[in-house]
Amino acid sequence: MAMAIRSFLIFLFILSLTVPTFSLHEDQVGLMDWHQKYIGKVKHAVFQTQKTGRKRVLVSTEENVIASLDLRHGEIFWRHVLGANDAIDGIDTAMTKYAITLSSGGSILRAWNLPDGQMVWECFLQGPSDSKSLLFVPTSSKVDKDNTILVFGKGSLHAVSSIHGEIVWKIDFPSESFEVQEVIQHHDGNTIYVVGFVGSSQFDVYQINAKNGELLKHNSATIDGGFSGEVSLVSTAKLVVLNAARSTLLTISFQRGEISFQKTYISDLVEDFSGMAVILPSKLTGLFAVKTSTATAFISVSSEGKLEVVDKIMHATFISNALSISEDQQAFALVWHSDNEIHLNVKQVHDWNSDLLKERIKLDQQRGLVHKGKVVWSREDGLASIIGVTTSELPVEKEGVSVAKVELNLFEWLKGHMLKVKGSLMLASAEDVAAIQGMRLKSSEKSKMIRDHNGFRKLLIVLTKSGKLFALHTGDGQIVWSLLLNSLRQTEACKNPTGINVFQWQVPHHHAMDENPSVLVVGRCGTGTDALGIFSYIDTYTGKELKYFGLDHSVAQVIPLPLTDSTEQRLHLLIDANGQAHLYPRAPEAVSIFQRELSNIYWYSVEADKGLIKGHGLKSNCAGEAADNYCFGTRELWSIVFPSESEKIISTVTRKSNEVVHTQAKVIADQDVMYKYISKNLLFVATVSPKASGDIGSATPGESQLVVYVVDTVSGRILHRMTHHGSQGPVHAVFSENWIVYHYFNLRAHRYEMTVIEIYDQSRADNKDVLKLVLGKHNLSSPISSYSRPEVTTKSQSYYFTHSIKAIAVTSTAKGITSRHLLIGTIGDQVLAMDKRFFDPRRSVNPTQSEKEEGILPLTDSLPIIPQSYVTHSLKVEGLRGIVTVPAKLESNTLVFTYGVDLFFTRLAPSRTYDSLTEDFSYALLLITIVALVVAIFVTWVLSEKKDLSDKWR
Amino acid sequence: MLKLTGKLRKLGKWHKHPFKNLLMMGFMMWMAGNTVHLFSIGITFSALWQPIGALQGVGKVFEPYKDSKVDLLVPKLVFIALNLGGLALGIWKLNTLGLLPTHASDWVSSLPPAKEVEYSRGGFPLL
Repeated sequence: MAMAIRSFLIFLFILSLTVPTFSLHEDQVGLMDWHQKYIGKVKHAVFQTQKTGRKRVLVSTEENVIASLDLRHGEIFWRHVLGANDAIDGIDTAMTKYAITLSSGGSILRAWNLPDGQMVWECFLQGPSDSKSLLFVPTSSKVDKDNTILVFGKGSLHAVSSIHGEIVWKIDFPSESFEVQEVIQHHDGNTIYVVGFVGSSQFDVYQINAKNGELLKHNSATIDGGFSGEVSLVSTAKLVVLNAARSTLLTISFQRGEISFQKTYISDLVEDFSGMAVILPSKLTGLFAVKTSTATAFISVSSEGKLEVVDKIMHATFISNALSISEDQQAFALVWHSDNEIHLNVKQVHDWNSDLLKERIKLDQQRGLVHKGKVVWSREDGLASIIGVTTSELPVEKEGVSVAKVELNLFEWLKGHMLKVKGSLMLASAEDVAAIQGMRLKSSEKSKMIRDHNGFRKLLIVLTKSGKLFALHTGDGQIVWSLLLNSLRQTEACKNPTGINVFQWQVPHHHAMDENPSVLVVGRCGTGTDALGIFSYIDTYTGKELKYFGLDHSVAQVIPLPLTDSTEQRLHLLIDANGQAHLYPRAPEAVSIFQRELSNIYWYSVEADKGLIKGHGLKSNCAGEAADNYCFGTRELWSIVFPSESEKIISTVTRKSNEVVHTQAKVIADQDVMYKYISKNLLFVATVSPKASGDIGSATPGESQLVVYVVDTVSGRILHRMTHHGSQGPVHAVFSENWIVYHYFNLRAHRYEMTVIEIYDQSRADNKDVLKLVLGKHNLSSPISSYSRPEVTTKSQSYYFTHSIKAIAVTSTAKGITSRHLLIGTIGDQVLAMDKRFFDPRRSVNPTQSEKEEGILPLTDSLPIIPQSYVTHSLKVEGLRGIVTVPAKLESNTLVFTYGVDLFFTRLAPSRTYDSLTEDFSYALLLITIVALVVAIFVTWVLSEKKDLSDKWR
Repeated sequence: MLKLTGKLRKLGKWHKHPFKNLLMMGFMMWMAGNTVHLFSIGITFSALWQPIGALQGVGKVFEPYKDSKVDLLVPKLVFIALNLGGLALGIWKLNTLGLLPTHASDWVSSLPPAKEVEYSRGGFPLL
């Protein structure tokens, strides 16, 4: 009996241990979060062809990343993300052990250790003027012999020791506008030739002593007719350029410093030549390529300077630099695309007709490596440059969709649960623990392709800069489908298409249940705001482009309306550069729905350069020849002009249009009520004095001030205005419910500050009579209009904050009941979650008892940073640019997607998971406990019966 | 006669019983404090149930003393009054715990935000 009681106690003790814990433990990493590393679109690549060790390729990308990749598998050995303003101009290797990067417009030279990527030295180069920059590592320096690196940057030529990064010598060229085109090392290694242009008609050759930087000789010659841009170096003493009219090729020889020209008309080489030609950048011995309007011609240059066309390709082509394949042989590759295929051709430099490799690859924007005609690896590095994110639901479970496939069989299920029980009883061995962890991480549950009960599984639809759309599964981050949008592909009509953003187009729920959801991608042909727009619909289940077309107007604003048609397509209003509104979808039904709401729809525009915010209403027809049923004119209703000498708009933020708020009342201490002013038509505007719009430190505290406004965008009324003297941007702000939190720099305190503004509705504050409320005699649920000029009050409070930040967002849940957390993307590329309770203007140094009960924290002058509240835990989201929160179906949970160069996804429960058991809850243990209890009841019952019986016999 | 006096004495005891109960309850409530937790809730609800249960069974309590010679009306009224007092005490306690919807906040705390008539969006020109 005593034994039974003891075992009971043990069970109870163990049960008490399984009370769910809420902070993230080490073994919970990777359970509901995933992290993906990318590097971005590659600009330069250097193949490291050393004999021993694993082969690597060194790359630099448009996202300012330098990385070393495994040439066999494509994995990242190491990478570094340089700052946003630290663009990489050139990379190379030196002394077989260093990777050299030149960045920031030729002013920073760094050496990285090749095997592990540690920085060895850094060197700042200064010069008289900004110029193009060039990194030149002499071939002899690639092996250990010599150790100087030549860098042309900021208008002067520097020789830098590759061992310590010291500047050995420096030459400022006499003519300031001298642009170095090539640095050529003479084969004796002691002399270098620097060739370049001054202006657009003078060609200069400098002969310099490589050892001490002494200028040995300077020759120059003027080219009559001038020349244009591109240069191709065809041998150590020969250059090819185009003349200014781009119709004649000039071959410039500079043997021993002597300059001679030779002219060849392109029309003599290419028969049907007309218009302009462009030299493709390449560095091949005796060969260069000229692109004309019809074709790309490859022209060989003989040692006497004779030009001869060897081949013509009818498509736009890219040429690689030459790679040595053996002692005296060099190979290069040509890439062009036609139709839907990429053609890859590898040839020997000296023998045009020898195709080492001829490949056709289906068009897809991945960076990959082709080996013996097979794609060895590919990386989806477009994901490093995301420009738009939206979500889509997965399909619901239907009869046709078999779930059983992914489900484990009963034995496995039991085995898994037994392991879990062992784990919770602390009986598991090290292997068991590993097995349990593996099971949790690989749980098939989270990566299923169907909708789940809690709404955790969704598709993240992301649009990348390259015009490729990806669907990522929220469970494990796998790419469900990817699509290179046809609409964002270069065509005759649309030369330079770019994507703008992705929007939810059709989200079927009530009606049209059997339709697939779809998203809308809006783009434009070109870079300016007056370029014509592009529209494209994509089915999110299949990843097929349903329809796409070019628009006959430009796109300055895309406004998703709170209206849907009978097939659940969301109505969108596109504002063009002339301020006219165009309604989509283009259907009579949409127009009739829209006409009903026409008088209540407004839009506003922010013109930062003019310091102007304008509000517009809509008219039923539009002016001009573009008039059709779907075009609506706009009229200006109000405008706010900021004085240009003292205020410059730097940031505006508004509430997310899909945000859900649970209640309008805020219950404060002593059962009192305050009514929040909840409006989606509010705009937060931050302005700084023009002097202070630069970097921190560029203005004194006296001359910089930050002014924040809260503007009603329907009536143009300013609800709140506050000045922060001695403060400046950058301002990052988030607007949710009735509050705004923003971050800025306080120059007087030399610290970052965060301020919260809460807006309350004073006109409803009188609704405090219980009897009237019980009887429903109140005006709290009557619709509100901005024209009724509601009286508002604001409360505000400021706090110091340690970090500078890159992005700020707020959690969002399905019904808005759960308390909110602010998600702060810190300068260290991490995401910090902070409870909104820290940003409460009612905080005071000594809160009363009732305020404490309400949950008000005592006021501190700075915000605490709790290391455990980093949602990215030990990971970094390199180059963090944005944080997107999506509500899950389960009220307590919110999904957080963070993107930059890396991607990070996790699930948060700001008020803990109060509405469900945690995933690692051991059902088996519960079951066992119940069974044991029932058994124990029976045993004790039998025992007591026996005892009674024996008592009676006594 | 003796029997009757005995009955009356018993009767006196019977209406003393709820009074004692009332004092007991009051003491328990004072002990429980004004914060909402398991103990205070339990006390309050028992303070509410006991008088209700007693009032329901008021006939049964006085059954044994049912006699034409004894006037039961006054003791019955006293009994009822004392129990009502207990009930009031329970309700008062419920109120001090803040569990009665007597404040405006109790009626508006889950009132959804009012609908907005206008809709306005916009911002910087998209780049």
